[in-house]
Amino acid sequence: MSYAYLFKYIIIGDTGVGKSCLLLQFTDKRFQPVHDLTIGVEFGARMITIDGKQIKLQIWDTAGQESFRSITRSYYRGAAGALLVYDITRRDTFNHLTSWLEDARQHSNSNMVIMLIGNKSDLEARREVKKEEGEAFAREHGLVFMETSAKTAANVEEAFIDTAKEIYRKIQEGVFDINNEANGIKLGPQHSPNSPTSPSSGNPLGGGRAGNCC
Amino acid sequence: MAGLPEKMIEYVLETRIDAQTDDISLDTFLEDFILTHIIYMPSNILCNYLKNYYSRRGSMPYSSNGLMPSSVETDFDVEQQFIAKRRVIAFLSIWESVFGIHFFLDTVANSFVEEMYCCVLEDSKRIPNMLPILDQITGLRQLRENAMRVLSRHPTTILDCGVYSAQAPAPDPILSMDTCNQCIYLSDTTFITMSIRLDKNASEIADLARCKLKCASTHEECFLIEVKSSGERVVFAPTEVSVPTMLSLNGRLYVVFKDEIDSLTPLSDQQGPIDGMYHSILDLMGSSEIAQQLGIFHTHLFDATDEIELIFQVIGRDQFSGRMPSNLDILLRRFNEVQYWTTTEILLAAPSKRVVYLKKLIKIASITKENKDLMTFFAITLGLSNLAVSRLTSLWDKLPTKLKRQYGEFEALLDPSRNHRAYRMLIAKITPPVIPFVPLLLKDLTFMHEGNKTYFAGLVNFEKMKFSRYR
Repeated sequence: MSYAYLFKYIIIGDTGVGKSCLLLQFTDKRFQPVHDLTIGVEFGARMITIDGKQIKLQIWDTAGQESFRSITRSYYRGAAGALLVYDITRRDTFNHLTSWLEDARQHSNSNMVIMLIGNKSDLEARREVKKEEGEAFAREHGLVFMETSAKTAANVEEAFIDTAKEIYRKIQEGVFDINNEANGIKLGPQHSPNSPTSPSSGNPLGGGRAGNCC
Repeated sequence: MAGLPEKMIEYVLETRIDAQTDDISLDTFLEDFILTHIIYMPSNILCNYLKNYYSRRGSMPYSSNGLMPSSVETDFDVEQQFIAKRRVIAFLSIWESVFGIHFFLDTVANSFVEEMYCCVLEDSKRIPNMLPILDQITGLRQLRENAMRVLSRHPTTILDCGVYSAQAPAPDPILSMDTCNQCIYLSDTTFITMSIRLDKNASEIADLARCKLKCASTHEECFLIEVKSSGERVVFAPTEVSVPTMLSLNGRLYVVFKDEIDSLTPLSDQQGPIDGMYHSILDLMGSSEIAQQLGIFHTHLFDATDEIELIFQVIGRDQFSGRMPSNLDILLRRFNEVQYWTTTEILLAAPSKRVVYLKKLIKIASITKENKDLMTFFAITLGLSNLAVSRLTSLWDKLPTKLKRQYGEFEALLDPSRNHRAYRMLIAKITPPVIPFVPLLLKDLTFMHEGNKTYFAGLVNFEKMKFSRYR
């Protein structure tokens, strides 16, 4: 399956807020063992359709590595979108958003679309952070906001797809230079003016591999 | 493959043990079972099963609740009884060989060796040909005694107010009775220093601190909070164990009431060494020597860390009574320490010296890579990629092209593309012993755990357990 665009995402936030579950919920609805460690097999990718165009989302997740903040530099480099996740049942994860956001803004390009996610909305009884607080934080920092439940899948599709729509809108408006891969966007193989090779990673993603995305 | 835990251990004993001989490498199914049984079959259940299997006198149909035989169907002859005993002792022996000294940290397994020794000794008087089995369990008992000499040491200090103690036992493991000298602050920044056993949980530490500070009269609930140098506040769950080893570098531990949490801010001494007071070790030692010393120390920390601690960390630090990932904490703490040390060396260097240090640190990184110490290698690489250093464009411009290219190659190994392909290619080519990039192990295990059910319709998902063997 070929694609028109490839968007690179990252998922950030404190330990235990459900980052990996969000990714797994979004990319792996089929029952199958995940995380094939065979070298080179891509993990965390899915095709979506926006405006009739096939878009491949490639999602990088930092789960399990949160205490190594510096690692994030290699993650942020060339990301078009970020999901910044907190847990609505743990206030401290909400309080740490500022420092994650600072990290994200420092290390990424200024056009990166950041979606704020209040996860675990199924645990209403244990809620410590009001929805309005999430909304206020998002408004103040210019983020898109959504509450999700990786457990029941509520809003998970929307979180990833709305972020993609926002990136797509920015492309249409000409905000992103799509020929500069540092922006986290690649043209699909048949769309690019000249053969797309990635100078940074040296791993051009051919269309042949795209169908094989997980 | 999926199954009831007791069916899986039966399968192991009936079909796998006899095929295992000394001259072939260890059966991977057997090893996977041993490495992961703690997730679905705690050691006491496993040992009970082994004991029953050892003493059985007939085939064991299962009662509905699992382990205890409800009736004996057919009587075993002496030969069959002998085989059952041989298998149990052989299994025990393999179990020990997988974990080494860490096997004896499991108190159930530890005392089971002694129990089985008594059984075998008794049986050898009435069953012929027991001698080889007796020899095997005697050998195991000897290993236990050797291990106990290491493990029954006095408690020792691991961290002394955040500084790794010279008395710390690496490469021998940290034990749950070991302690850390820990400063505990109140909201007004007065503090006391307490010696805290690693197996004390956050709630016990808060109580102890309050008693010592003589503010125990109130019944209001207290919280244990870390204030990181970045200003972040981490609230420890009451059941959290090995708290002092979890703290970040320059983190401060507070015991406060709920309404005080939001007022806590970092203290000035949390911002690291002060300019002018800092002396660089880079002036005193050569690159190879520094790389070598770091390698020796990190090998010790790595050897002290049991694989099972990765499982504790990913599944839940407080889920495995009496066991905790303290050695892993120290290893990861050290990883961050080297990262920040690298950054600090560059930032506090006199401007004229910066490029010299930068060259030297790249040199050290390249030697640690040759030494197969990937932990130090990536820590230094990450330290130099810290924004505070990487944005010093004029510094990087002074670096010879060759070194710049070399550093670019180092950074490329951290590229997460295609599930960290570059790193996985690198490590696949290296012959052990190697110190791996531990953060990635944690990430892989996190996804394996979150992405795969442990049980499927009540059966253990053994496919998941097989994943875990990737190291």
